[in-house]
Amino acid sequence: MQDLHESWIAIKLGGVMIFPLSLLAVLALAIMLEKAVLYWRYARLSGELLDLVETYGFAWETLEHKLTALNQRNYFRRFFSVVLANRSRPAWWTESRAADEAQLIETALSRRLWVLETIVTAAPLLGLMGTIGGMMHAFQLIGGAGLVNPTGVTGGVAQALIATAVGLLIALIALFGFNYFSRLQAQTMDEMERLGTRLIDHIRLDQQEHGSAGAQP
Amino acid sequence: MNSAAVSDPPVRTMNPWWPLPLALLLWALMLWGFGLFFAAPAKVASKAPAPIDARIIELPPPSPPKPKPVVTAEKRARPVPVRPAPQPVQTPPPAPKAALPTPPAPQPPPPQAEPVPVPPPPKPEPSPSPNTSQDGTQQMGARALYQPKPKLPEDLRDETIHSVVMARFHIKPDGSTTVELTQPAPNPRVNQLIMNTLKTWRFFPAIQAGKPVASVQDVKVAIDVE
Repeated sequence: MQDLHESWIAIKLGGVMIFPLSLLAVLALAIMLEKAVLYWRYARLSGELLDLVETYGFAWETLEHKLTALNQRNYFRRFFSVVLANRSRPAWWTESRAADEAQLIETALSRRLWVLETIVTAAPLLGLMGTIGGMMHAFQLIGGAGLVNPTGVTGGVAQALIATAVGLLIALIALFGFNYFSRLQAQTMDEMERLGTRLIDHIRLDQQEHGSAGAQP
Repeated sequence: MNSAAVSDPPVRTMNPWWPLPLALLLWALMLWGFGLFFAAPAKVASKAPAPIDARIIELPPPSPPKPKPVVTAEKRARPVPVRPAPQPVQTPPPAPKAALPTPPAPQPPPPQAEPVPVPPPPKPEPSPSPNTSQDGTQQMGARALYQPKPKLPEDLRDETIHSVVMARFHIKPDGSTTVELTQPAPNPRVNQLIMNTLKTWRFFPAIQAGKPVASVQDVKVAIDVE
């Protein structure tokens, strides 16, 4: 309880800028949490499915069966099911639909990531704003009559520094989050593209074999 | 055909607002830790000076309640209350320094520096030391250990001759002080010189129930013109 009070006093020194800074921090944390859960639940691919897609000799029914076992909102399921649904069409059509779907998925994965990027830049700036406010207030105390209230001046400087420190802390957290999730997004999209190419190759091969088989008799 | 087996998944992924409460909680925790981090230095600072308090054992033998007629520069305060107090009373006043067995003396100001007569105003708090009792639980106001008078150059004499300067000392439990002028002199340069001197003043913190506590002391400053 004593600790709580002490830390509250220290934070209160930070001045008004603590509130917008806190808003940014909560926003950044919320986005990071959401992204973490999203990748954990909806953008994972089981090793079993991965192995299946990478071998050429699987039956389409097996893939369909495995896909239905995935979560309804899984992005890989979304992507593969588009390819599967169009697999009887010409290859260029299937390819084009898969690219469309990949585009949509990329948009969904990067949703609100721009906010995180903005916070990385905005939080230190807000902190600096607090610094400038605190400094101005502190130096106004040195009036014409000399340094009459030195505690006021040092208090103002402390306030200024706390605002900057909080801003930097938020920016650091958001920076790590942003870079991590950007990287995760790039990895997911790469993986999706690679597997999509595999599937379409498979479809092409099927169509070629069917075509030659149909031509022979 | 196949689309029946693997139906179109919903495009909307998730409600974006569910992590907000969790994020709020996380941020509160972080802010708390951050505040603790900032509050910590103050705690350390208040602990460190404790040995200094315990070291000062010399004391002026004359009973302090009346304004002291002492002319020597030794304006040392009463002994530290954490020790059993009565013994120091017997020690002869003239050579208190020599009697000190503990050499590490971080006490910065040499008290002999000022041969000026004692300024009357900075009396100790009203309850000086009627109780030099054995237990360390008595109450004492803060008192000055070292208080040189501010010296001003000749050319400022006119400015100061009639002015009365009041200073207020905030004495923290660790003996450190902050000082402000409650009634400054009209001339800012004079104020600056006075402040410079007042910052060198050393105090022994007020004691309440055997523990040093923060206190405030108002002092009327006498000014020497060189």
